[in-house]
Amino acid sequence: MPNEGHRILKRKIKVINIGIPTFVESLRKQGVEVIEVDWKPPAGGDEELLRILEKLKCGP
Amino acid sequence: MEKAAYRKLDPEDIEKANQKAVMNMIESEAYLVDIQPAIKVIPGFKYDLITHAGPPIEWDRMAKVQKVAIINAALAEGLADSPEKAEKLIKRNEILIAPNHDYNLVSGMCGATAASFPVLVIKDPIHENTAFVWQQTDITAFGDKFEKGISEINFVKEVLAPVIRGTIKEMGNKINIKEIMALGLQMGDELHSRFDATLGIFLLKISSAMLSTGFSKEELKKVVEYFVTSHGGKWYPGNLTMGACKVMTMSAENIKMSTIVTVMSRNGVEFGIRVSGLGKRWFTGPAGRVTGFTFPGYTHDDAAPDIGDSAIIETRGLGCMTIAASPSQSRFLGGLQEAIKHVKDMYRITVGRDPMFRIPTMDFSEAPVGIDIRKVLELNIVPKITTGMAHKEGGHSIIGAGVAEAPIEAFKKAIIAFAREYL
Repeated sequence: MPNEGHRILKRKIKVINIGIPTFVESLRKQGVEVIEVDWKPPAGGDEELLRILEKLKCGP
Repeated sequence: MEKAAYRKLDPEDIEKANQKAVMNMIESEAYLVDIQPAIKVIPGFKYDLITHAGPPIEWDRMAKVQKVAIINAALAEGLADSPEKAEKLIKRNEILIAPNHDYNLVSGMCGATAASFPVLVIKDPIHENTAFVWQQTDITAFGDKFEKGISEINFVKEVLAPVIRGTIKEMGNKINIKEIMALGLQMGDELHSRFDATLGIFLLKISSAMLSTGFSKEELKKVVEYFVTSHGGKWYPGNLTMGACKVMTMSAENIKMSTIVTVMSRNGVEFGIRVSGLGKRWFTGPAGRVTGFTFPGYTHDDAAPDIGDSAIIETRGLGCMTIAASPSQSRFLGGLQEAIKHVKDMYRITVGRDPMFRIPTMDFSEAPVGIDIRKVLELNIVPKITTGMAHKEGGHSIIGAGVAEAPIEAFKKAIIAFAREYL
């Protein structure tokens, strides 16, 4: 029995892509509407730097 | 790796320190007050000293083009009578080398500066700071051939500096550089790689005083021709802007607990930064590749990595930080829309806005001020620098222009040092 996921993919979808730009290219080639969000992991994902930044927290 | 134990720190203290640093930079002024030999006005400068752009670096690791420029400066100064002799003396520490920034001095590209070179003296009377600039010349900035370029050094010493000195005197011993920069920014100059408008404004402001100095028609004609026909002359406002930005960023130095960048500078091997709350310590990463355009006969492979003290302009929040102000220079980033996006990214990594410097193409938005190392790392967004290209071997003048990125490694090292200092 098809699940909700299958039903969603049969409809026209719009995608929000966060980060890796190559996903955007392949989706657009298939005619899928994509909104690109420019995002990278804070401190490149470095745990030591993340701990430091947490202690030195920037304001909003 | 064992996890470091960090104490609790009130981030409010950092915010207050950063606000002080940024307000100091915004409130500071920049007046051209004199032009004199470096040995006469720079505290601590020595006769056997050649200073250079960028963070400190040992001779053996130095970029070839910077070595050529330093040797050119030594020859121009009469410290040696051949390049081979100059290099021997440098290796034996009989000619000393040190960063320009150690002396509150800045100079573009290789930035080689010697004792007798006439330096612009830029003062900020608000915070009582003084900065110095040795102007870009082909042999000391680009490592061009000594025989070809020594006449420019002699011209600066014998004609240009005396005329500029006389002009400054005629103008009450101070010329407001910050005001000239603000006008130029609103007329299509981003204040690092394009100064067409700023040069015109500068010449307009000084012309009456210059004509009143009493120098001969011939000498004054040579000075005007220098400004309008030579590389060094056309980029002259760049020297003034560098000095102004240096004196303004000096007001943000040594503020305890501040994470604001006070210096960015490159030596063609390393890109170094200094941070307000960490004093005069350098934090470095590899100097990046300059991408842009090259002049006919050159390719990107000929270019030296990013080099020069001119990144002090971006440190102050101008140059590539406000690149959208210059439609022509926006092409370095792909066009005006990309340049606007870049400026918006710079807003995200800075703490303040400067109401005196506005970007007409962004509805007169204010220039970003105060690069915060925390935000650079949190958002993974680094500053970019608009810059010229030097030939990696030396022996040429400018070979192109473009944009280079600051290395994230420098900011990582700085935040770790900040944590060790304050946490």
